[in-house]
Amino acid sequence: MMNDALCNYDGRRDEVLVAYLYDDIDPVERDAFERHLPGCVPCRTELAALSDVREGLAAWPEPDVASGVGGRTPRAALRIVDTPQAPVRGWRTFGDAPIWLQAAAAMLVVAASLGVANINLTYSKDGLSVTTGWLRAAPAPVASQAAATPQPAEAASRADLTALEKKLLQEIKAQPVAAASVSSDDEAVLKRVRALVQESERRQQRELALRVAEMARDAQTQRQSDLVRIDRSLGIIQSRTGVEVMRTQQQLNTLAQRVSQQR
Amino acid sequence: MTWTDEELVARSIGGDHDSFNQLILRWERPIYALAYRTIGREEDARDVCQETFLRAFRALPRFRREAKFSSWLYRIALNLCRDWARRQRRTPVVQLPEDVDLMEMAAAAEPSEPIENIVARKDLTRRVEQVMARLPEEQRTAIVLKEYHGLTFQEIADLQGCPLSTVKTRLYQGLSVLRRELARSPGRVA
Repeated sequence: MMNDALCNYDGRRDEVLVAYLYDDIDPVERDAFERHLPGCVPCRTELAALSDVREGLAAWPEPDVASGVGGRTPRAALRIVDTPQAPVRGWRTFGDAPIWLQAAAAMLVVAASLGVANINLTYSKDGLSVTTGWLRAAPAPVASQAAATPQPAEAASRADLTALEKKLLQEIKAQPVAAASVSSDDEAVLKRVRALVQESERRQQRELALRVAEMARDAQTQRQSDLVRIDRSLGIIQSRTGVEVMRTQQQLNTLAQRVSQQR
Repeated sequence: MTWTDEELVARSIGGDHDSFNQLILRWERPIYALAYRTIGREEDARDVCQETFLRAFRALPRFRREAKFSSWLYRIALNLCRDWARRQRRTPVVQLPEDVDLMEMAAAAEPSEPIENIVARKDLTRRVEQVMARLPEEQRTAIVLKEYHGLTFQEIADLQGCPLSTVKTRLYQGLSVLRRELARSPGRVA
């Protein structure tokens, strides 16, 4: 057993010993320590023991970089690749998505747009009609009822109709400013609707891309988890096989020893 | 033609990604080994290794040329190992296999080498890993950098941000613990 009390080395003995052990020492200090060593049993003993420790450390092999960094495909994971754009989550463009997804997204956008604009599509025996919530809805049932029920107006003479037309024209001419104002309001509303539809479309695309990216990430995580589980199972199977091999080897060794003893 | 690290760094900064890939090829093995021996877990060491090069690539324009590229890389890797240990909130433990992989041993054995020697060597390796995992992080890192990466005491002091004498003391203490623990098992280091 080493006894440090017997060592009379002047200076930071432990530091010098380690520096000498690794041959990373100032030449002056080396000379001094080498002069000290022959007469100091504790230092010689400890130096030899620490050298043995270093041998033990050398038994710890370097990890296999092929299985560590690149996985089963060596050195595949660590490379810088030239790409025109920084990679983003999900698809780079919406056009990269599967066609069924694009179709679903288009349906969603259309539905959202109709909802925002409060547009109603109706298809009747009169044909397709489009109305929006921003404009006054036409009294369709009344109109259709009027069309279905014969009215006395149908029997009016051409002269009556001409008179009515003139009257209407006079009324229209009497209110030119109001008509222009209504037209201007409609355009503003339409612009607003278009803006809302576009905004809704953009939002829907963003949300859809996000959801799809999340789904892809979840699937990837699950896949990796499955692969790890499979790998572990294979490892266990290999270990069990190894144990059997070792037992067989031991039996063979025992048999060989017995045979040699019998001879 | 073989470029120096510094030349490859300069070319990488100029936009030549192949040069950075050469740096990766040159340094991925030491960096992975450092991470593995510091952390003790293959999966996490792989992550640390990849993250090290990713951070180095991103920070390349800010790399100061007066430092060695390898030292800079080591520093990034050690910081990541430290972050990992902090996240784990426990002393890193070497992940050991549940059973000795005898198939691997048999494949690695010399034809004339007795199976007992192979088992003894594997056993020593396992015990070294176990004792190393129990050492304080500073001592373990100092031993790994000195023993397996051949860094000078001064380089380790720079990386660990401590005086030269502290590095030597850490090494001495760590090696002393290893000596004591390995001596407890029969037939090995006295």
